[in-house]
Amino acid sequence: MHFGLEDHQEHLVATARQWVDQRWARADLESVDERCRLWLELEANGWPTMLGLGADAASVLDAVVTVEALARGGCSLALVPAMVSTLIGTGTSTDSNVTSEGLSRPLLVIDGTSPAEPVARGLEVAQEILVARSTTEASPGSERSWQIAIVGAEEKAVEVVQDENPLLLCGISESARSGAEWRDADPEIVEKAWRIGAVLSAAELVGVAQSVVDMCASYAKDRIQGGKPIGAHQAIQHRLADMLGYVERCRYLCYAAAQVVEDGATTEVHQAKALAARDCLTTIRSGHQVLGAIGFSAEHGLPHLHKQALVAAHEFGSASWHWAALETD
Amino acid sequence: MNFTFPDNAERFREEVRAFLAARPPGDYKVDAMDGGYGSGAVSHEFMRALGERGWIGLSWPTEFGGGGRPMIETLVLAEELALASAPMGPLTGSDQWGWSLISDANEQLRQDLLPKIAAGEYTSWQGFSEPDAGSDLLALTTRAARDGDEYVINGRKIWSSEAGSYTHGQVLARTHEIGDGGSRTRGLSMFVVPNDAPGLTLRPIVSLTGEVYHYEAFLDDVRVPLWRIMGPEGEGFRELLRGLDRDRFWGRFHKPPAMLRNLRLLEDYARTTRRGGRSIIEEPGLARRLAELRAETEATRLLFYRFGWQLDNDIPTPYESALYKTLADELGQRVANFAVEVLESDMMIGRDRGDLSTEMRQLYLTSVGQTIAGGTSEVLRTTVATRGLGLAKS
Repeated sequence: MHFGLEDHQEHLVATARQWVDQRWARADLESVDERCRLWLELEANGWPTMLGLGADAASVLDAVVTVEALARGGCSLALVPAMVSTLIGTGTSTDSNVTSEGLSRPLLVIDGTSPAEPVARGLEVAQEILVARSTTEASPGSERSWQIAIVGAEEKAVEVVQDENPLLLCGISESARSGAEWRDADPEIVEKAWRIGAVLSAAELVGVAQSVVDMCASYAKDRIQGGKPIGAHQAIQHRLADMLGYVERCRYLCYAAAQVVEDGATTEVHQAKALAARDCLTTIRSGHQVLGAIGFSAEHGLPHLHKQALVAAHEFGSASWHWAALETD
Repeated sequence: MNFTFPDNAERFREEVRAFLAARPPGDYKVDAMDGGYGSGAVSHEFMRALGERGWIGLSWPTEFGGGGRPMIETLVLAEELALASAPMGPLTGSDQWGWSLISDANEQLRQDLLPKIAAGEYTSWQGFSEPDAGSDLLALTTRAARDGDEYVINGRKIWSSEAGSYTHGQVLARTHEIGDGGSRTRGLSMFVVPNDAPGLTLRPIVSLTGEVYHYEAFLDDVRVPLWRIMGPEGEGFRELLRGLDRDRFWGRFHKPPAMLRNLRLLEDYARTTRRGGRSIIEEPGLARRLAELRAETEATRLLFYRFGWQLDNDIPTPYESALYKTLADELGQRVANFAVEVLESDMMIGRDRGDLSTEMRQLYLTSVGQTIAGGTSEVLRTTVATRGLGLAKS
């Protein structure tokens, strides 16, 4: 057993941290054009497609530490859905003519009766959207049939559901969905990609929650009230200790799931996503209490992180969905 | 990163399982109660059986009588024994006591103790806390003074686990007085005191289970030869810190596997027992809580393995033992609460449920003290915040 990052993973993390420090932290995130530019840089770094490059593909664990590092740095671009859409696009190329080469900035929407919300983030930077829909009733633990379609990301196809820059939630318009060319997809490929998506979204949650711990610890050291840092009070100390414990616990469950998800593991995946969706959100809520009023002001970074985590918590199965799957496991 | 056990560890796991299958753990004579930490009851017979196989001190260097095996095998041994609820009570404590001796003791002390620890003959209790020095251990008043070729120890210790069943105490005492403004961490020394030393009296303290787990130790002019000191005189604080840190890890490492075992037993019971016209597992929310507890336990198990890996690779662990102990102990209390939910009144009165209700009753009652023993959760959270997150001390 080895719990440290491999050399190449250290490099992935360092590169991701450097990018978010240099580019994301200084970007004008209110601007859609700027977010598109940032997305092109993500693509140039090879992150959205790192899982779908055949023999050169990174491992899921590589992708997990990358996603976590980017999220810890504050990056909220929809990297995880893009990674999953690449996996599905590549995996289903034989029988559906959908290839990763044929997709340009693909992002994924899970639609229909799937457990995920039929909305997605990041569609503003997509040129094409891979829509996957389950054609069977999806109860946790049951087998699902899948169809996929490619929808152009032009204005008439995308409906903005919620616009809270820089986190834009969109859906696919009814007309675009009904006009799309649906193809049956190999359920094994889609389900596997979906499980990988669950692990990756757990990693994103861990990264966001860790960034909240970092933010709150720093604030607790600097914020002076009554003549001493608020972090000198045990009430704050103990809250932060709990937050750290939650994040560490989720992190290693996520890493362990990443190692076995490609072999078809389900229990580990359900546990990783369910716990991350529950405990990372708890951590973030707790962070609001440490930061006080500034923490629920839109001018502060925490509200955005919180909303990003809410989205990640529901992508590729909510906590409730994964707990329910474990009940029948 | 790789979470797969190496081949040697898996082979050793099979060896341990074969040992347990050859003679079930329940066949061994029990000498003292199960403290509920996952290390089972105390059976000296079982400890001797482990010693015969070279499984106490498994990872000690061979020149000190150990097995020279990788640390992962010691972890696997503890995990498998916990999964089987084997009465290994003193095992990990003995293992770590040996490591302390190898690291810090003089040659005479090593020769006196190590072979018999490895054989399962010698076991040790901790004489750290005192009636007025609990969370503030440095307020201790026990004194040790040199008198010729002996130390004379006077004082009073309390909350020493299983002291009456073990053979030696590790007793912390002040050997040098501190002047005004001097650091209380200076001038402390650790001594190894045999239980049969004249002047040492152990008073059993009956716990809420009705059994004895803790003892109070009275040291009245207890004389020990100079070589029974651990490390240099006055440098016992380092030994204390290391002992506490190790204890929080090794004293809790077996807890996650023990919890997994308990959850499995409770699930089996809930699936096969009907109440109110349905299986207990079908009661609203129960299966969900089981899934949550199991996931948290798996996550905690991974954290302990990670900690072991850090120790094995000499990676600093400034806060981890405090954090992981707190997580494990509080989770253990929730598992115990779950047992109440599943077994209801059967657990309290032990009616018609045989071993399961008795075992879970013990688990529930002993879990109360675990967030206190070895450092309260409150003190340890402060440790995490100050050492792990760099917050100011209050």
